[in-house]
Amino acid sequence: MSLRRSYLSRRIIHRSFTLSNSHKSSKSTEIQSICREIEFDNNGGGFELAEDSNSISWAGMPPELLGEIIQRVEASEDKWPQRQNVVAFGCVCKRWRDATREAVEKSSLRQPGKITFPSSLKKQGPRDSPIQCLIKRDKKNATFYLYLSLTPSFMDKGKFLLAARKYRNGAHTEYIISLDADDLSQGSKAYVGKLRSDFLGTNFTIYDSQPPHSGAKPSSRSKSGRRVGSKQISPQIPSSNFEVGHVSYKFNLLKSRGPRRMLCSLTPPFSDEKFQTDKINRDNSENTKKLECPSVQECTTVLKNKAPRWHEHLECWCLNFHGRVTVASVKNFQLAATMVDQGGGKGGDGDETVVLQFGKVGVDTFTMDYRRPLSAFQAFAICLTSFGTKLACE
Amino acid sequence: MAAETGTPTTLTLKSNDDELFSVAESAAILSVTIRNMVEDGCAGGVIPLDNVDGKTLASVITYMNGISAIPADEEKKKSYRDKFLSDKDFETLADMVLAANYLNMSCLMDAVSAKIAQVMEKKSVGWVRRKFGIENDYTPEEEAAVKEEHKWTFEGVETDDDN
Repeated sequence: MSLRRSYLSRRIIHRSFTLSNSHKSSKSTEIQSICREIEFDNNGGGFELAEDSNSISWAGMPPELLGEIIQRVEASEDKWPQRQNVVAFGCVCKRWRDATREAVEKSSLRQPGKITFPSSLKKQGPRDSPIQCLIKRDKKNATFYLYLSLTPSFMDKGKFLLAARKYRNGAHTEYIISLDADDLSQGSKAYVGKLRSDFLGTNFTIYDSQPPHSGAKPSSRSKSGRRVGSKQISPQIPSSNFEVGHVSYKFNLLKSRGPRRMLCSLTPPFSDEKFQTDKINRDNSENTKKLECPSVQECTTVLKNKAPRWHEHLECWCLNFHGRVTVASVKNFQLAATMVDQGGGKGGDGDETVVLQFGKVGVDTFTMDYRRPLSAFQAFAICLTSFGTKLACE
Repeated sequence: MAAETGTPTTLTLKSNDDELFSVAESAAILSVTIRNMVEDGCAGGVIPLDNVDGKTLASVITYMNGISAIPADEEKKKSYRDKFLSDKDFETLADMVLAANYLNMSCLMDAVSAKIAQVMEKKSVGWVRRKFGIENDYTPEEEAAVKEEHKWTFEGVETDDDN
């Protein structure tokens, strides 16, 4: 019982300390800890009891100090796998989560496109240096895995990002894309979207489980699902399917073994910057927000593959992948963006900049390097279109 | 600013439970709060620090003396910080955060933040909540989403539930 007494006296000190700092200490937490204390006491858990008393100051930590701590961790744990510590902070409770989100958002203004939460996979990649990923193919199980490269080597697996499995659905082929490598069904909580191809395997539609913007309507083909409710939690609730892009391969009539021609049109995902402008606009006035949003939504990204050059000497088609692709394959491609902006403005920005590059480096290993305006999810879906035989192309 | 050259100036700090501490000015000005007082010339008598108790202040002063004794060598400073925080419990770490904030000591704040991240590394959410005494305030729906996120983040990593 002496332990209990010392615990109580400590608690009193803490309470006065808390008050002197004039921040709110939640009553329910206090009551809870007292209950817990009694529980532990009955069990004779003296050690747990002593520990529990230590931590009241953490429950009452002012949000701005929590923010200070998490910002520091966010800044120092810049790369995976250390970056998982940032997510760990965000999993603890609502207040820690808010502080973590804020820290990540703040840093994404300086350095957009960084991958932190699973929700980062649906945000635009970085503007300058592309994010380097690897795709591993498991032919036996018709499964594809996307990893974030942690080293320049093609051998290291890296941080798992997404998985996809190919399903036959009547005359169509579908790739279900999931956050969980062991749960590749559309009903799963980990479901993030899918890719659907036509019979010939030349036209693909990309579906996102989440709306690309607030006004989006779910695709008519999909079953109606729950809408995402909470803004706090990255919403991975399996819900509707929203069409967010198309990929088509052009018929190749002249040559039987010539290079493929690809065309993609995409609804660009939210960028962090856009999020911030929206937020600022919302803060300033409702009117500005209404004016700006439609033009952002109507803006579509059109991507075309760079035409390879015929190399007379080697007698093959060549593209410069800057060392990121080592095996010649018909699947290899580079997509360059041209912005079609109906609202006028940033059109024609960087016509020949490669925004997605995909190519073979091993029997079942491929590299995928993407950048803005693509998200990791979109880039992965586009790369999946390159697998599988295209009846009409070759 | 320190007026006379040569003789090291000593400051007297008072904790909120009326303990008095003497510190060399050169070490104490690691705290921006104290440095401002010194620069404004109001550090002559006793400096009352109303938000820091004696136990924490003693610890902070140990840190001030330790770190200021190390010449400009980031590696050595870092290893001192690690050693200094290695035996601190959760309560002390929280007190350190509050003190570092009040005293405006950025490097102590950095060190404590890094220490907390290190403590949490590869631990389950339940473990962190237990150790930090934090109540789980998620709705079941949010909790499920967080679990999913945690699983994705720590994929392939053994998270440690005990100890």
